[in-house]
Amino acid sequence: MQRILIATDGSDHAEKVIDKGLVLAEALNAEVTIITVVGEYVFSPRVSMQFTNDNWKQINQHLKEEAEELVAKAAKPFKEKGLSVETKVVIGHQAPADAICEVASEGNYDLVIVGSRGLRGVKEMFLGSVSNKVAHLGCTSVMIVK
Amino acid sequence: MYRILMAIDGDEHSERVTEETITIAKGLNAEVTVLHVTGEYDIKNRISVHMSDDYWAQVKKNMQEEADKIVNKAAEKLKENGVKTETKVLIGKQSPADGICKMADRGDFNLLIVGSHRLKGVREMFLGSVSNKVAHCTVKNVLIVK
Repeated sequence: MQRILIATDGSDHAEKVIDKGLVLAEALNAEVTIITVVGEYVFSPRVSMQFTNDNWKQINQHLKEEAEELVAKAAKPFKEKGLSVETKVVIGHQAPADAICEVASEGNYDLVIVGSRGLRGVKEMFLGSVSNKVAHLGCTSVMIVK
Repeated sequence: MYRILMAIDGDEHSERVTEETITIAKGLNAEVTVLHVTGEYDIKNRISVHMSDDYWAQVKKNMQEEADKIVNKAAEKLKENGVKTETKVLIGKQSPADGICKMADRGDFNLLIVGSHRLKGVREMFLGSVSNKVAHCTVKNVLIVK
């Protein structure tokens, strides 16, 4: 398990995911990439229908900036431990799980670490939809942090 | 002490699960409990109602022997690699996923490691894979090895 992809969404639970990921990455002396996926999926269709192209450009720019801040912050503790860490922001139409799996397969990652809950916690009471889907897609080994 | 519960079903994929567990356990200097769950669920109800008590006793004895072989084989490999290892066999009426979750949640484990054993086609649609069920039913962090 040399290459680990850690997914974060900036939720409270994601901090726990980063903590667990840090322990494991340090133990395995792994190369880490912190990923976050943002995009249209965060809006309900009823809302996103109303957006003009200009709106979209602005929104995407905003999402991107926010996401970059998020992954940079998450990468910090890894850097402090002297681990090799990269960050990645995916912006697009895809669902987060699909994007995470795609990056995991293309980047030859050995392990994906995701949280069992995320920003949309209440909807998925037992297991977050993203972690569930990543596990189900079976693109790579997955660790689900509860 | 970091404690790992590794659940295996004894098929070829169990070897890969064992290897990944060795890597992680060595990195974290963790103790590993090797678990195999088997039991009545393996036999169709239609068949099992026709089995006498004596016959059941024999079947259970065979199951125990088979299960011991599975956990001991994996435990040997872990020990060869210097990992402190225990074994545990659970024979009962519950499904493997329920048995694994019960063990995981009762014990003081930091991580549960299972293989991504996927059933084929229609059976998966109805039953879901064991790993998927485990991911839902445990409160512990789960690593699903592909």
